[in-house]
Amino acid sequence: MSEVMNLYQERLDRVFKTLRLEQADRVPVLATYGTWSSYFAGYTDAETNWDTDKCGKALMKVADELSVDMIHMIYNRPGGVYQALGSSAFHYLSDSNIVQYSDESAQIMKDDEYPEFTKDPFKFLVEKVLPRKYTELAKDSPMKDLAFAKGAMKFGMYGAQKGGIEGALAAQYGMPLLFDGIILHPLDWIADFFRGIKGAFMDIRRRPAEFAEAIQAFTPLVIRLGMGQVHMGPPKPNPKVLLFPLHLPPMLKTSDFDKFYWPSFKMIMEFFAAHNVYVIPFYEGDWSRYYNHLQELPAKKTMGWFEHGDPKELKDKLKDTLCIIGLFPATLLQYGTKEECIAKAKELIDGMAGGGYIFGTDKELLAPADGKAENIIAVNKFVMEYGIYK
Amino acid sequence: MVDLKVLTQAMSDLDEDVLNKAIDEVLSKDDNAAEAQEVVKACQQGMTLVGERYDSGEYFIGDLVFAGEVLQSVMDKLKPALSAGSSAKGGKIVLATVFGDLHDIGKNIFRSMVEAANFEVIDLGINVPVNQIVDKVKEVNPDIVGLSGVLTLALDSMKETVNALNEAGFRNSVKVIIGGVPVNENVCKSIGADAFSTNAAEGVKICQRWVG
Repeated sequence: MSEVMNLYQERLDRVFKTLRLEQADRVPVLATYGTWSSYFAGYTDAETNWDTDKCGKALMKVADELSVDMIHMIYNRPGGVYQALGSSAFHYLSDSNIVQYSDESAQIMKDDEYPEFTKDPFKFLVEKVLPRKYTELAKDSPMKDLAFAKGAMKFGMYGAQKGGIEGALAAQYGMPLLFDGIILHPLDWIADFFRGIKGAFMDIRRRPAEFAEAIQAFTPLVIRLGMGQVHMGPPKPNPKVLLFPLHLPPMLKTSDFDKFYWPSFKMIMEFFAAHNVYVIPFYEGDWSRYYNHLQELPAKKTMGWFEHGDPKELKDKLKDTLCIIGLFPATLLQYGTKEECIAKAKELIDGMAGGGYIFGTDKELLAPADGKAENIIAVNKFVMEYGIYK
Repeated sequence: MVDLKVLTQAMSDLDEDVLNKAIDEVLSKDDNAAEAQEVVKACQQGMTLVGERYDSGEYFIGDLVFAGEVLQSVMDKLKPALSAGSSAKGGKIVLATVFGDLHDIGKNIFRSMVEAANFEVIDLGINVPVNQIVDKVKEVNPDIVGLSGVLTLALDSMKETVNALNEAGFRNSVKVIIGGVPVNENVCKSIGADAFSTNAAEGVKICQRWVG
């Protein structure tokens, strides 16, 4: 095997051993740099959304210069797909800003439509949600059929380009990619895309039974969407990995979490664990009141990317259950000195002694100023030296 | 006369049915302006209890968003019965989700809670350019400027806004509070704000101390 392929294999082993809670040679470093990477390479977010090759070039630069073991994913959005379908949900507030999604664009389902949604979620998505969300799909045939075909073609092209980037990262830099797809919780689908976050909070209070039924009815479809992505790419020697960003739980009362979120969440996690697919939720916000829930997840079969949490408490509660990723404050990379960043990294690694930890930022780096490259490099190099297991 | 204690409790419990019934009762009477004013006060007191229940870990963001909505609908219903400018205000706040960011759930929660605490709020909305905030400060001479954002890029906009307030000579006459997911003590210092909070109820208390 070539040197690059050895490096690739070594990095994969390091990360996957850690994910399974086996001890690797050292703490792995995961690049969790999203659209920040575009700016790092001299592009804007918009440029990389319109031209996936530029996203590839940005990731090559990340792989080459930032001392990491693995890159979390190809982060750009396929602008051509959104354009073909006529989406207006994503906004650029200025040319140099990152793309944002407004809660108003999510308000496309009415509060009295839950029974129809629950009866047949797939039918409701195709017949009601899609035409309301995408203006081109609301037109009469054949215009909507052409738009759909164009969108599908653009999506296929995007998939091929992503495959090309993944191959190039491996071949040129020995750099693996972690995520093979993304899934969302049915409640987050409803809140983020159908009813709006505010709408969802109203429905929880005003239509609790219908809301719970909709989530339950939608869960099998969410699982299918995940399995579709698992099978989309070629097989890999290691299990496929899905990112599962979780949105609303920290904003819910615990009793509402128990009623509306946890049952489907657990079902989804158990399904993928049983099919040997690794699911890594991004535990956005403060999850400390749910750590006992997380102890019920299938041990060593799921992982967690955490934004908040005391390392010692996380370790105490979850060390036998799941590998912990993240926790390093992105704002420190932005505002701190190299020395402050390194001190924080040391504190984290000491708190995570004994393995089961992958170094990464507490949230994806998005905006150009989200981290100073010199801080990122200094911290990553430090982790690779200091994080060696003796 | 409706039982104001029951109303305060219903607002605190986020019980819309009880609130709506009482308000309909008030609206059905002639010469109801004084009573409507009392109802508003009772609901505002209920909103303070909502903030306390958030502080104690009983309520979370979703409940605050809902509470804001409930209070808003109470105000909308009672508006025809209320005489204009009838209540004294505790202080004036210019509020904005800063330039580059369009996330406003946190800002809106803060607005409804600080309004319930009797502040006059001039809400400039989302993605508000620095000069628009400075111009508004010039125009209305507030006690406090509240800057909100979710994205880390909002921190830069907050900093630019504070700098611009400095340059325009307003920094001694207004207090600046920043709020949102990415704010913390370090960030607050670096931005040059007077206070930060990720908790709307706590933010309201800080504002009350400033004008108190």
